[in-house]
Amino acid sequence: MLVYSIAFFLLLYYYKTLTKWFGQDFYSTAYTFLEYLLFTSFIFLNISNKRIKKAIIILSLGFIIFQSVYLFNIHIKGLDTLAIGIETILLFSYVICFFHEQFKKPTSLSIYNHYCFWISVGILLYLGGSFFFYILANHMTKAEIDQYWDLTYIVEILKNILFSYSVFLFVRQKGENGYKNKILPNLDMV
Amino acid sequence: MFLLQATSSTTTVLFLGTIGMLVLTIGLVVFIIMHQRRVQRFQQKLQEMEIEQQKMMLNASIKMQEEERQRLAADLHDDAGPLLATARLYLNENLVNQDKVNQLQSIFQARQIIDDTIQLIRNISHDLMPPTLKNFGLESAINDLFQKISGSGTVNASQRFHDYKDRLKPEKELLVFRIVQELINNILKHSNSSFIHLTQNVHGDKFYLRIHHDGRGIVQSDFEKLNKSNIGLGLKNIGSRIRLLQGEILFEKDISQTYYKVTIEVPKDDPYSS
Repeated sequence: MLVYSIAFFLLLYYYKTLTKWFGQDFYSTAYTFLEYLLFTSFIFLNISNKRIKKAIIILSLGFIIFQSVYLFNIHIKGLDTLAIGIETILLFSYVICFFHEQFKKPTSLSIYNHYCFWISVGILLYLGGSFFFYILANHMTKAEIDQYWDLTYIVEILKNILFSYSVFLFVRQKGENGYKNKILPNLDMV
Repeated sequence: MFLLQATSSTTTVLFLGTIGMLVLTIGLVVFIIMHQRRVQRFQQKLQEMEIEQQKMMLNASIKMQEEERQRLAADLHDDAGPLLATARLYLNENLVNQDKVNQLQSIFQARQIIDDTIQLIRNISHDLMPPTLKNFGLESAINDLFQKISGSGTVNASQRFHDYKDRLKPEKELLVFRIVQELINNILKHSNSSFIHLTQNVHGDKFYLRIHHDGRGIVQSDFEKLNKSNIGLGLKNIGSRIRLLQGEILFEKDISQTYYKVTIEVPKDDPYSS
């Protein structure tokens, strides 16, 4: 979560510098790739099924190859809408696989007490809420983009709130387990 | 104009699509939470049923133990106690004042009573833990049991062991013997049968015992129903012992409809285990 926060903070903070040095198309591709990588890693670390993990690795490699081909062969004007679309579909699939796996686990703990659930919901809301905007961005006028771009911040903020809650849950669960594993001294009454 | 129309339709698609995606996402999350709650409620119910079943089994086991102790106490109190008290009467201090003939008679009577008491205590002990089982195995123990039953004259009990060259482990033999004992007790108490026949065989890595009788019996569905109810303590104990043995039991009526069969299947011991 820390890596995600720092990486995207730097990407957004140095937007003008990076686009000036590398170009808008490279910046967009890097942003999409980093976003995909970090979201996928959250889900990858919390899925235990080996077949799904293998599939995630293979699909991720395919996505990287696609992005490379797309970047160097097609001149991207504005956003890399196709890559964003594929990223959204892939991440939705991974999240559904994660939920499916959680269903099969016999546990008394509710799914919404698991920190990864809130990360997944954040990812779903963020990608679902901004999917059509990013897909149609290259077909909209500059005036429309300026008018509606701020709406993407709503889902971005929602995503960040849910990510923060997941961090809170993670820290709380770790704290509780730590107490359980603590070795207590002999407390028998003498 | 066309551009205006195109841009307004793009905006419409944008808003409708976004709302649709958000509705789908929220719907998916709500569905997941509701589904998981339903699964948890079901799992909780299953757990409660399992605990209830275990409680019943434990109660049945405790009740059986208490009944066994009461029977033992009654046998000792009602039979052994009076016998020893009577023997004591014959061996009182006045014996020295009696003439030799009366003394000999009293001693003889007392000895007879003590012999009867010894036999009685031996029988109680054998009922608790038959030495034949430990020393000579399941076949001999069942043979002894069946001889006692046949000796009463009311039921003709016989047995045939086809293949018992390798004995089961002592713990397993005891469990199987107790199951057979309980089944035989039930048959004698409830079925009103005229014959009981036991056969044994081995097939692969399984040990089989089958008890046939011509009286009133039960089938598998009756056994399962009685196991779940509050009655049928003996059957519950049979069920527990079968589970301990990791075996199976099947109650059925023969195809000829003339007699009932109870088949016990138990995995044989691993030849390399100690």
